[in-house]
Amino acid sequence: MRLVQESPEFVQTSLAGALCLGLEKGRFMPKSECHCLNLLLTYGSGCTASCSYCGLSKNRQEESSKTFIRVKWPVYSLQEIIDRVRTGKHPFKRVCISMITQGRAVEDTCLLIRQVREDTPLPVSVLIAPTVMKRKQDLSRFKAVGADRVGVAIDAATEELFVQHRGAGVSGPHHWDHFWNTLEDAVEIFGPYQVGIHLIVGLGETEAEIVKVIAKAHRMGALTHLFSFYPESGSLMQDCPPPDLGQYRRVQIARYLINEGLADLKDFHFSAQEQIVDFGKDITPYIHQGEAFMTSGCPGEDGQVACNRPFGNERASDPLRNYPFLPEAEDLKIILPQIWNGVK
Amino acid sequence: MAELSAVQKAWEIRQRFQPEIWFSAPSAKHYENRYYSNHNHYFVNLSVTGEACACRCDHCNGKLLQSMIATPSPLEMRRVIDRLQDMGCRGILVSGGANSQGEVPLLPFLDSLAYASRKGLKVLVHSGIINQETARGLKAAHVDQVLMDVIGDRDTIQQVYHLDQRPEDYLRAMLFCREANLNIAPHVVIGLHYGQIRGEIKALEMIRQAQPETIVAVILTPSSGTVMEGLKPPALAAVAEVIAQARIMNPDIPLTLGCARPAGQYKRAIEIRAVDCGVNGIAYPHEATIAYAQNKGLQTVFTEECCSLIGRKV
Repeated sequence: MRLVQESPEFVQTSLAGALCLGLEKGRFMPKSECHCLNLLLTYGSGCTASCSYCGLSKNRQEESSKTFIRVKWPVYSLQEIIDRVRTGKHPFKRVCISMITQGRAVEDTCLLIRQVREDTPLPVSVLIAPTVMKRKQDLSRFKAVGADRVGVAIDAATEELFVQHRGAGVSGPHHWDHFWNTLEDAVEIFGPYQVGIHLIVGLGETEAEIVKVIAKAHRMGALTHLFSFYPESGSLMQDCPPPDLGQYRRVQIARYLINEGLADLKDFHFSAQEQIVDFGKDITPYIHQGEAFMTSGCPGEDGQVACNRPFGNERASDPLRNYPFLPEAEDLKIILPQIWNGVK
Repeated sequence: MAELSAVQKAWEIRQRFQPEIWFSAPSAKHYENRYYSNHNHYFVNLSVTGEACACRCDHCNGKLLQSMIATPSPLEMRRVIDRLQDMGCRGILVSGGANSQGEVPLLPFLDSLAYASRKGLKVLVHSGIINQETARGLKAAHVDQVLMDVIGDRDTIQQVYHLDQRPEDYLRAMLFCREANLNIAPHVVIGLHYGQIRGEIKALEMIRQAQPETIVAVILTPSSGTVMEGLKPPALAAVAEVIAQARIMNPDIPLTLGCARPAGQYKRAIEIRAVDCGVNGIAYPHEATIAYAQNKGLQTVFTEECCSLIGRKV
């Protein structure tokens, strides 16, 4: 009988994380180094949810060599990872503990946060699974054991899409209201803008719909971290295409302007197809600065983005959607012509 | 006992002030968030040269003038003042392009400035290097405060501002104002020398001698279409060190983080550091900064005047 390696003693980490710890062979280009160590809870029974786009979904068809976001997430003992982090030979500025929807997730997350905080100097975020949480009680516990930031993966921009992809539409356990209520509690407990939501562009929403949600979250005190949908083989959405690159760029710009307090949603203009046609002001200086096209994620203690998720949205040979570094002049030459692509 | 870092010392010194922090949001920029929403036309920027400027500094090239209301004649200025007052304006910041000596040509406008003052508007002037005659004239016109950049490095003055002046000329300009009994709010532009820290501490030393009403720290923010466009901003830690020194060197003078700062994450990160360094005010803060200040035990107060006027409130 094979011994199942499970949390809290074992965790999965991203291939990027494993490479940076020297646990897997391979190398990153220096600019694309991963600055956040992502630790994913792991259980033999897996995740009990069935989100249509996700590689961890229990509905997933492939049995062997499961991938998540197109790559393997190798399993290691937490102790081995912590020992490697303690050598200091790594580029990480933060650790993120990602929950999955599973009964033991809250307890194990508390144990993981505590151990990382006791044994390493890195700040800790938690990507929470609201469905298995007693909202304020569990959020307070995460804070008490040392987490300073929280992410809520809302993913879908409208309630309709949420139900379709994560709830009743896939016989999944997640509820839209519960996620938003948990977000509100998180802001209350962790503080405004210590909380972020994840949104995936390309699940069927319009640009107007996703931009409204970004603004709503911002008003509530939460930043937004964007992902560009990429079909995960074996998942229900395996044959769906990624969103149009122009669409993604426009939403990235909108996200940046709203989260940095640079523009107001009410000044945006949308086409009849609900695409952004105007941001209500001259955005040239902001897009030339480049940060709008960088991955948005939790920062390190220096205030700069740590969770830069290199190649989290595309294969290495595809155009970069989220730049894991600040785009430079030659990158901007590629990005700028993409912005208004596809606007009808 | 381990010695305190500059930032820690700065925070200690801040304890001499009331535990409150002023957040400015004058109407030059629309500012709206869960904490505050500013009004159009409350506090407006005017340019006495329209978009013209002889200096063409490497970080601006006259670009900043484009966002100001052009009032290139005294009559035009009075007309604009009347219109603005009808719209509820409370104050004006009068600036303009500089001549080849680095001076904003304010002398022809003294009567109009006095007019604004008589109408009950606060009048601030961003003067460039000011001479004695102009300083006395501004005082006679009842100008509330004079703002000016103070540069402590000769190479920076020559290469960035294309002027032949020396750092001492900035000290002299400040002293002319003080002799005329004018309130001043000198600005230190951190990273002005193409992103490097050069004359900032010398600038602070000169500023200390002039006993200003408020000291304003800003950060190099090159405009698009300039020689400096795309330049990396100065390192956060280095900027924090300068702000901390400003606090330490001037324990009793209100210090603010002004509106010129690179946008995005950098802006958020430096605002947090500025709170830690004990500034008394910040212009257009991100909401996360407001929450941070509150968590540090500071009462947060909003104003729609330029942050340089915070010196009067603190």
